[in-house]
Amino acid sequence: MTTALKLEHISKTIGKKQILHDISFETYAGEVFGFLGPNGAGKTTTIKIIVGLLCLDEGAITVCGTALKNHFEKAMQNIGGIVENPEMYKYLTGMQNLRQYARMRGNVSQKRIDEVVEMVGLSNRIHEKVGHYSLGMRQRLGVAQSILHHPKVLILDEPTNGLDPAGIKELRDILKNLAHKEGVGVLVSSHLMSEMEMMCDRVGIIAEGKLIGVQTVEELISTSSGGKTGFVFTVSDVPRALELIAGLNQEATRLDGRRFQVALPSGETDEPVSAICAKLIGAGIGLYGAAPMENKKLEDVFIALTETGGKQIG
Amino acid sequence: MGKFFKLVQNEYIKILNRISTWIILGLVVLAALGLCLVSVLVKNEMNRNNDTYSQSTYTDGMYDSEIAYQKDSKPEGYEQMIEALEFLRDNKIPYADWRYAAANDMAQVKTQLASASASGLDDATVKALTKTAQDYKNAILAKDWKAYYQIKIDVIQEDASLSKEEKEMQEWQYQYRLGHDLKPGSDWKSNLITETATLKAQVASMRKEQESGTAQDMEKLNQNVDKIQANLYRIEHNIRLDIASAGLTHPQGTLGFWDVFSTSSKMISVISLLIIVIAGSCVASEFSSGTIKFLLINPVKRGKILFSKYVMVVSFAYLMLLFFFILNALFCMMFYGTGDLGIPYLSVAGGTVHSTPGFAYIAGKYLLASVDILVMATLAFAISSLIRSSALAIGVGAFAMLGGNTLILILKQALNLDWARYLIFANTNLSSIMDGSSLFAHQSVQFALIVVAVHMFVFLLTAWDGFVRREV
Repeated sequence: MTTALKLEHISKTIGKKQILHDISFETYAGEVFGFLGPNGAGKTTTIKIIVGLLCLDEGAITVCGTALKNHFEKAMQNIGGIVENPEMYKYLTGMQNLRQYARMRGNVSQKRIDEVVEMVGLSNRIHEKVGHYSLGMRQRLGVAQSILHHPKVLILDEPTNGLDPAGIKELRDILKNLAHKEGVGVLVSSHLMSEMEMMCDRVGIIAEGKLIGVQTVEELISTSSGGKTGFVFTVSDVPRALELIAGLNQEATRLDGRRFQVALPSGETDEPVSAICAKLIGAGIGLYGAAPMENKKLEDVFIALTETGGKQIG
Repeated sequence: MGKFFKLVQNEYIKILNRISTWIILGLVVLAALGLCLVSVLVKNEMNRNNDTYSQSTYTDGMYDSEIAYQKDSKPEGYEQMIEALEFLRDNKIPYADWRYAAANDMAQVKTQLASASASGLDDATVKALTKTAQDYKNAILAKDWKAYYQIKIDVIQEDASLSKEEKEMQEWQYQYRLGHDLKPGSDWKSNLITETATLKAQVASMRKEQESGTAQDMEKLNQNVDKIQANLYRIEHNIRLDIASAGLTHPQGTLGFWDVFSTSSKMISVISLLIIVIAGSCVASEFSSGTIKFLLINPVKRGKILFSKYVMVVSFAYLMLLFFFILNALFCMMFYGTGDLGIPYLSVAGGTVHSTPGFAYIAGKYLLASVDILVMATLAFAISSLIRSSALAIGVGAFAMLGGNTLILILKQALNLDWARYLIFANTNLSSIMDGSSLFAHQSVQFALIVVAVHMFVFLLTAWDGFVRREV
């Protein structure tokens, strides 16, 4: 795999507050990398440093092998992106806006502009003033400007903001297509976890300016649940059932008046479940249901991982 | 280079798609139109008191009232005067003709002769005077103006009461006409010679009084000397009108093309307001609208982006000046016609006269005035980049433009602080510094240019530093 974007030991202090602590990660060509973190964790700051809006205190950023600091123009030629809200010149039309960016990047033909407009589904409205656009339309225009010049690294800060469900799906398809077919390294930040789960190949989680971990989505979910799968039993008499199960040397937690949960080693659930059922039925307890709990969602993992220092935005 | 041009092109597209730009541009057009309209109103007002009549052709009865007056009131020498007037009448000679003046001269000589015995003139003088009177008459009858002027010169030469300088001064116009073969009349050259002779007399008397210790208005003296130079230049180069004299051909008290067109150079502050608005908003508005993030995310160094904006501001300022120049010229042509277009501007420097085409002269005025625009626009640009507030940048720029001169006036006139000459506002008005009418004594153009350059450098450095190191 080719490295698209490489961050090494990035630190950033604004005023007296250190916003980022020693962030390092890589994204590869051909993958969608999700950048997750609660509000104020430093996602946008990191992205702003990558695209050169903020200067770098410490560390190094390499874009497709070019150091950002020493060869800004060459490195930026490979980057496309949206930072924060997609704010364009309201008094220009969508097309005029795109031409502005095309002129600054060079080698973007009118044909390419039309192609990109078609791709983001704005063809019918592109000659209207941006001032009349909805947030979702501006978001689409933002995506269009970010991919105009065939960047090898695409950085999108919360691109699904303001998009309708159909728009989110279209964007997901566009990004996956760019990454998997055209080999673009895509970095997406978002707090819509379900979206990220569907869109991303790998995720990096950031909290309080520190990178907590970088893993594939599956890895992340299974490690965080400690290799166990929960089974939920619905019975007529929970306290008696718990006593019985304690005898089977299994951990059980009461959920409510009718249900309890047992954590079992993932992949080896058949034998213990059968044993528990036999025991309960043997003791005359009414067994109404036994089912594995749904897999933990990325969202739960995310909240568990980042919820350390209380709920105040740090 | 091509890429940089595209950046400037982007800036132009942004500016030209804004409604505010077009509104202010509309105001510029109105200002130019307003100038002409006001000038025309002035013209109409003055026209009512205007009254001209010509004396250059003979009409019957032209001299009747004057002869009647002479007969009635009998002033000294009236008999000779009546004789001369009747002579003029019989020969059908109008007032404006040189022969009228010659007849007058003849009458004077005859009056002198008539009182010869009383004032005790000797025979030789009487004989000479009689000959002079006859010579005058002969010259008139022969219509020989050269002979007439030769007599005038002889009379001046023989006048023992005049010094050599006085003689030269008095006979100058006759000598000049004879030397240049300029027939007297009521044409413009004759008028100019008469005017020049009067100026020479003024200069001579001022110099004389100066020698005797009376303080003289040196400015007036120098102006007169320059005017004499310019007049002679016009006669010799056959320039009927220059910009300074064009007003004389218009009906009394009215304005002409060049009067109004040259006044338009003083209205350039309208353009500086437009440019200050553009300079003050072109950086700050990117921040306030959030578009700065999309501007800086491009593969272009920030310094280049800022420079492209500055290039847009400066080039736009000069395009606007050109537009205002053409607009004013067109409006002036519409209101005042195109008759005066070809006349030149004459300037006198160090004893030599330079002739500049009128349009080039006004263009020069515009260019000198552009320094002020440039400085104020750069100030607004710097504030815009440093503070990122359009309102503040435009406000400070406009305040500096409008209040700068007042500040200097207060510092110099009310508080008498000479260091105010180092302030930028005391140095932007290059045209007044050039013609020496600056508030500060010995303010030189070089000094002003240095002050302006230093300020521009500081403003631009501030803008650059504020923009390139800004965390967005």
